[in-house]
Amino acid sequence: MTIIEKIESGVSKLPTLPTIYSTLSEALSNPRTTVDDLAKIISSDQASSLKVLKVVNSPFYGFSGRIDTISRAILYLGFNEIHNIVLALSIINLFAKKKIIHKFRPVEFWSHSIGVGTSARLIGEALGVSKLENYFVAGILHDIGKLVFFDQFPKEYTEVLKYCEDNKTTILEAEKKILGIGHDFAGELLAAKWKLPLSLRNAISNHHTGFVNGRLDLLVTSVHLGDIITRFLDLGFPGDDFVPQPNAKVFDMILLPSGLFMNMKDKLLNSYRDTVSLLLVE
Amino acid sequence: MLKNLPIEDLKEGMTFSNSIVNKYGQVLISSGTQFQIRHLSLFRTWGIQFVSVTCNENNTPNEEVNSEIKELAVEQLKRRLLWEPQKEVELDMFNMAIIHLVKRLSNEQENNI
Repeated sequence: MTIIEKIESGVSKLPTLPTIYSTLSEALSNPRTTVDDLAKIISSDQASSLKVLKVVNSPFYGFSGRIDTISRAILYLGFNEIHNIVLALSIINLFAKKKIIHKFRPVEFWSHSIGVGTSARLIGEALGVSKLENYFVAGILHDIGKLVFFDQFPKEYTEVLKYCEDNKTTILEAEKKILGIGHDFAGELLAAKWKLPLSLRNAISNHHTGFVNGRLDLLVTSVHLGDIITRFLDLGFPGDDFVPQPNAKVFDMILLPSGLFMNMKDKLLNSYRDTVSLLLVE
Repeated sequence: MLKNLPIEDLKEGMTFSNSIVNKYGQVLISSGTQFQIRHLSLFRTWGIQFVSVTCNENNTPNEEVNSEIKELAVEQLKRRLLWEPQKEVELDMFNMAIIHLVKRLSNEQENNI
């Protein structure tokens, strides 16, 4: 069995997404679906609807406690944003209570992902992107390939984590050395199994370069830079302690406001702390 | 000192270095006006997230730090970087991380006393 076949087999053993997400996706593809229909689907899962309300009322979205029903949340934030929040919550829940392997703890992994989601959204804002609805969820999901290894190949992944420490390399390099492929590729396979939208699949498979097939993609670029910023600030633990260099080509193609990261720091840290306590603290 | 700040970080007394315009190009606030809290609702109404302001010594955050802690922060961060920040944007990221790390190390030091 080749390594790719092994990984494909591992991906096929991972759980499917909860019914609430697939039911929502189906409803969204029907042009006759109303806000009430969607609200009913979300409200049928009490735990999810409570968390969705907590998230939409967080300072991150700036409504500060004014949204008290799922229907109102959909009206204020739109179908897609709510759909994405449900997706992020579903995937976090699927992997939140896994065992620790070596120093890789699920809570720390998700904290890093939340940091990337928060930074990606702020970077997108600074770049003048008007539709930011995928930015947070793309950051949350960018490293899901690590979950394939973590869940299906714990023994081999322990070796990867130890290799990072002993050889001062990033986890991506260690994965390629020990397993033969990186989490970007494994993530792409998992995203395909879950039938995630192309924009998210691009962010998952290209977050180390910031480009999609040589073409600049602002969502992917924002996740790429968000990953680096989150590592700079040491938020959560992505599997190694290192801060990779941003892809220099990115800065030839986009113009970031001068002093952006210094000015963004406090807002980023506040949003990060709020979101971690909302999504990860029981 | 000229800074491009998220609106949440504005402090009264900071001066707008450019006129603030809405998406139709209409001037909402002229350059040279001093920021007041009431301006925030106007920014939120028009979806304005960042503005360019001039800070003076009374409204720039005091970031004076113990030089030993700063040296320690630089040393710790450099150990985690496998490259040398050179471009302006890379230095911006590096400096942001140093300020954050200095604060964390200072808090740790205070807690140990």
